[in-house]
Amino acid sequence: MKRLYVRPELCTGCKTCELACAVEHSRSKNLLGAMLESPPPHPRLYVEAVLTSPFEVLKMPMTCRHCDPAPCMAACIPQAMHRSPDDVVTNVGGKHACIACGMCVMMCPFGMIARAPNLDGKVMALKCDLCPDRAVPACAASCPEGAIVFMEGDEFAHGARQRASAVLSAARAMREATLVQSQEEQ
Amino acid sequence: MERSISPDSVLMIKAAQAAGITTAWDRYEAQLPQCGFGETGLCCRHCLQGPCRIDPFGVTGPKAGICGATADTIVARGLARSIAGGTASHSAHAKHLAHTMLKWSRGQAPDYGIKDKTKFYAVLDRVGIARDGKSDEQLAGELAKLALAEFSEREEPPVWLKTTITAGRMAKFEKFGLIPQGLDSTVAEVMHRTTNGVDADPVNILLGAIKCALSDYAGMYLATDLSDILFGTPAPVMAAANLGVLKENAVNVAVHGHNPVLSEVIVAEAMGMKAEAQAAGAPEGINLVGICCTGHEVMMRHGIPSATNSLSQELAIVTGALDAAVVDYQCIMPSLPEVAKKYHTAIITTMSIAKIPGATHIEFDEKHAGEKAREVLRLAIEAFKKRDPAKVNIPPVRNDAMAGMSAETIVKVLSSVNPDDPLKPLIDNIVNGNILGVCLFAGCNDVKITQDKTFVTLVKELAAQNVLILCTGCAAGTFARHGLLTPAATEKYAGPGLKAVLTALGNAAGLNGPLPLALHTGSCVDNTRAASIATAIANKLGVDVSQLPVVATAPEAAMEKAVSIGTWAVAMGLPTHVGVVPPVTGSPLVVQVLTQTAKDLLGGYFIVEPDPKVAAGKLVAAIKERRQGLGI
Repeated sequence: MKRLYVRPELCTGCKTCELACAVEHSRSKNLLGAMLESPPPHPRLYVEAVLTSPFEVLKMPMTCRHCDPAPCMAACIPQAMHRSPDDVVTNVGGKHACIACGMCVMMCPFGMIARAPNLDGKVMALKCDLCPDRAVPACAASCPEGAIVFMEGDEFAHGARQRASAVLSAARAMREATLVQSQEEQ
Repeated sequence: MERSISPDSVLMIKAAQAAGITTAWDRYEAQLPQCGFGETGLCCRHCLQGPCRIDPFGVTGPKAGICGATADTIVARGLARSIAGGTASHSAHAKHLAHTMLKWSRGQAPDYGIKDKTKFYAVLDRVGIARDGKSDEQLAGELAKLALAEFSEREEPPVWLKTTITAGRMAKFEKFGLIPQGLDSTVAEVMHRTTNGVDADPVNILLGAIKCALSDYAGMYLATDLSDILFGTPAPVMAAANLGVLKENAVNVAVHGHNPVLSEVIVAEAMGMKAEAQAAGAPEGINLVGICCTGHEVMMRHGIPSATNSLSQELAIVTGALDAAVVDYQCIMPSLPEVAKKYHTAIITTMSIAKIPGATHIEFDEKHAGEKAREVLRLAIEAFKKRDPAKVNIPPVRNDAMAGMSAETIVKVLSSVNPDDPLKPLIDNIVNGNILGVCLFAGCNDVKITQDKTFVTLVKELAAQNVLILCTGCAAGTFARHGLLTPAATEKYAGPGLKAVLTALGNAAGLNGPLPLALHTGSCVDNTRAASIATAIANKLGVDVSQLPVVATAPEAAMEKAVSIGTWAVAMGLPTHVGVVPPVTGSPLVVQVLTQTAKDLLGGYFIVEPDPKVAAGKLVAAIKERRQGLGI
């Protein structure tokens, strides 16, 4: 199952993903048209800034994990929040309607649910739906740095292993060189 | 998206792809998606606390920058700075010509001279320099000094503004505080008022930007005047266009950029170096071609063919037959040396303020102009010797193009119908409806939209509805390479009224056929030629330019210079179409001022419309509204 994965070290904080997400969740599906809509479209992911030192800000794209079990689903009193056959956690298109109670907003440990007007102006819980009309969600497709990617968990982990291995093998080569040198000195 | 509809561009884009060469189109794709905050003008980098950006949806993100600047303020500041950028460019071009004239007057630029004395004297009279008893050198010195004085702080309105516009325009500009203190000083003023903590009122900032655009107008007018005096006022000339103007049997040298100061001398020297080129194995000698506006400067004065426009400049190298590109400034891609690495082409920069890593720099100076031009051409001949015949791939695409339709030429053509009152035939035909109105096509190609498509679609729509077409710069280049600067295009695309008028004028001018569908009015710095015709008509009718059925369009605008030109066109009272959405949409207020409020204040306004067919409808509606206002 493909999911959104984040490499925060690549994020420049440009917020293109937020814009692309809002545009994808608008009626007109283009930036110019979306800006003229009322109510305006709402993004479903957020780039957060964390002050890591007085001079450094870590930029962290935050996306819905579509958890399993999902706290938002467990907390949804009318049972509007459900898991779709595509394994997407959503409160749209299920058997019951969202009543905008905000329980899911409170329960999501990542803060990925907003209580805001949908395109019809009805206040409800708005969250990531992994862009059902797209092969790759708008955030991942728009990220100029590849900081947000849409892939299988194994594939992402493999990439991370490869990057870590490259660092480790460089360290190993350095260690071996040091050993050779110290043997020669002896 | 289709990259271009110009057949020579299409062939060379394919060739570039096959050869693994990256062009502007590839680099554009690598930039996608472009940043939405930049696209909407909602990013501010005017202080070190930023960058700040405003949430265009106003939902989750900030509604003001750190200093408190709102979307309206940030968008207005950004637009003003791009107008200042354009104005600075045209002003630098104009000052360069004034310095050349001053040097000639002091005997320090022997390769130059006064080519057009009639225009020289006419300009002297217009700007108020007494001619009696003075030599041409003295007069040229006075004119150059007056020109240079335009740029600094002044107590009087700029001469090239107040002597070239209608009294009505001048009164409007005075009323709204739009008279520049000096042409460069308004650029500095925009930089000041748009820096952190100065002007935050978006409408006031826009007024400052319009004032700056009027400096742009005056600087451009001045540049055209001085170019005509030094190098001759363009007269009708038959030339050619497309990459097919490159020749297999010649040393092909492209002059590229904007200012004719260097390219004029290259044209003069190229003739004398034919034998050297032949000795190097090029039987046809040196074949000069133009790219971008330097190309148009030498096309309209000497019939030098136009190889291509700015956007497709790299493709000239991909033909494998371009031996050297000699560049001055503006619109020159820093990528040229990188593309040239795969070929033998020498990229030669010539201006101290415009160097490119990887290019050969031969610093040009007016005192040794001829010598420098010969040095450049020798380098081209040396490069020719290294040309690889296996790589030569000149697209077999070539169109005729008539150029040189300066304001003076247009009046002269009209004089052949009515010598006593040259403007009368034009006005009569506008009144009787043979000509519905006039549209000036200007501006660039823009990589964001298919090259030439908006231009060509729009011009055919307007000409079919009997709109008289003027064109400059890359608009003229586009029409040239689609065969639209020809009498045949008039036969094919002009509406019946327009065709009758162009045919009558063509016959009266001794062409034995119609004038071209679009009249090549000059390079992009020459847009004031069209403005001067509009001003003359308005003055004759006793109305203001804002009442005339005259419109302007930059369907494929790309550069800051196009933004400045568009803005002064609006200030002059023209409905002005732009086919590429500029980075202002983040502020509904700025959009409203540019597209609506401006109409109430100045008569001119922007029409933003990417669809050329819809744009044609809007321009025709604007023309008809004005005809109605005049009761015709």
